[in-house]
Amino acid sequence: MIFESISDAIQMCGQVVTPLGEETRCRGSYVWACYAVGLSVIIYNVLSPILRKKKLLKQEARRRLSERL
Amino acid sequence: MWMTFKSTCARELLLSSRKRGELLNPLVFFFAIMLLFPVAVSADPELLGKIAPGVVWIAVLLSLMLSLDSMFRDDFQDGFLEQMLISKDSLVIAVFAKILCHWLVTGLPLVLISPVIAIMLSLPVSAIAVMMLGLLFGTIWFSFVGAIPAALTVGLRKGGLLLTILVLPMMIPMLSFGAMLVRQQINDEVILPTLMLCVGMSLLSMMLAPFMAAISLRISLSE
Amino acid sequence: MLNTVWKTIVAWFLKWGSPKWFYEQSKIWSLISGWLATFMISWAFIYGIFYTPTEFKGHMSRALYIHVPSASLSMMMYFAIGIMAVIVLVWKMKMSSVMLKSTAQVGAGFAVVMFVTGAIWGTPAWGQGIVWDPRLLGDGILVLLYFGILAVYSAIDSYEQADKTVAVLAICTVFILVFIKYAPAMEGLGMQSIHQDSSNVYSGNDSAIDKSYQRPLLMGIFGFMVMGMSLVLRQARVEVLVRYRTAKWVQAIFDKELAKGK
Repeated sequence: MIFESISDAIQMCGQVVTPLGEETRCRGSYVWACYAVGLSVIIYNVLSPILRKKKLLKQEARRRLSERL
Repeated sequence: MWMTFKSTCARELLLSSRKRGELLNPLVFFFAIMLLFPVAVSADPELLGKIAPGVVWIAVLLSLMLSLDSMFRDDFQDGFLEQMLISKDSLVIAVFAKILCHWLVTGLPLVLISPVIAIMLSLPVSAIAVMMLGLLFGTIWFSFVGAIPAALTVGLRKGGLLLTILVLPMMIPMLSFGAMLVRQQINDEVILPTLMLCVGMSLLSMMLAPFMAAISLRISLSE
Repeated sequence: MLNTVWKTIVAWFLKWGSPKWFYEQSKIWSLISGWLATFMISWAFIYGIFYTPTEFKGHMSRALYIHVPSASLSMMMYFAIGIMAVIVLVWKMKMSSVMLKSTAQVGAGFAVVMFVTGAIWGTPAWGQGIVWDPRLLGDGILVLLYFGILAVYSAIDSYEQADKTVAVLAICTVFILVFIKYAPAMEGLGMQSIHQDSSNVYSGNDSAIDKSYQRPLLMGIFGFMVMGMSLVLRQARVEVLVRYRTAKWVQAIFDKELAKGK
């Protein structure tokens, strides 16, 4: 592993080449924000068929109930 | 084929000559957008001159987009579209004539008054001819390509906003090249490649869009 | 020999055009591809975040392993939509319109991921989230196109009409992919490109990027492809149930599911 500790991995500080020379910058928030966005979309995509199917079954149950009445 | 083209054109032009008030609407809208920019951005002539190429193009796009909705809607409501579909004449030719006439009464007037607006926005005078040339081909692209979503949404009761969403992404390529053309002229760069691209795109749209628009009309009237 | 093999493959493929066959057979495929994708993507992410060296543009390059796979997935999906649109209009296969809708639903999410992660990455790298160069313009158009398609589905109630409308739109707009792909090479037209050209990640030894970046990136790209397949199949399975809810076999499935619920 590149990082020495977990807090190091969260902060992700390191040397960055800037026009003013090498500087230490922390990129953790940006990187983790990217992965948070990506994972939340994946999780939404995994959950949405399940929720749609549940909704469909509920509609169907209601339709059958109204037909029986 | 020629008869279909001629009779459809004659009908369209006669219809639009009967409602002159509606013809004026896109022009008024164009003028209104122009007034917004000095008010909202800045009255500084130098800054306005810099953004003028893009502003004129955006204003033309928005004014044309508003009139796209009416391209097929009136004919849909009075049943003429259905007559077009079941007639033995070629639908593609009739659609081509309709779009061309729509461009003649909405796109062309916008191109013709654009120099007035451009001067109001202190666009350099040297760029006005090129801008008009670009707009001439750009409005053709806007009318012909925009006819496809207009035909697709003609049967929908609330098609207006949907049409806007569908039309905008299709217009962006032409918008970017057209505005670039004016910028290049202002900066004294070579404009020929970009101009050729605009011409090519507008000719391509004249060739292909009537077919797609005819298919779209069949789809949206199949209900 | 080869002819019979080919014919068997085609016959097997054509069976998938039936919604019933699709619903019965797709469950195992979506499960296999889903779990495979889970392992591939978690390996790529963990390797990419914790084990790649930092010489290449500092720590920010760790966002590469989600930005590039979601970009390539969303573009591939739009290409697939273009192909399926032709099938919908010409051959009018039932399943192709179902898959068209499911692909659009999944692809829209990844187009947004591509755009948002790009903006987050651009903030430290370019000093500004969005710098409007041709590549970003093309990506923005792609996001708009996806949401335009979803808007059509929510605006038109008739399935058949919505499918055909989307198909026409997709055929007219699929050319935007060429624009996006070659956008960084369009400087000849007077557009400055700030987004770097795609490095050739696929070739073996003369790859433009180092092995330690190439491995997680390739794994991420292929993992996202497999995941895309799984997610589209899952959406399509529900879509089949919704569209054919009056069919006998769907009613039988409902019977079973509702009995399980009680």
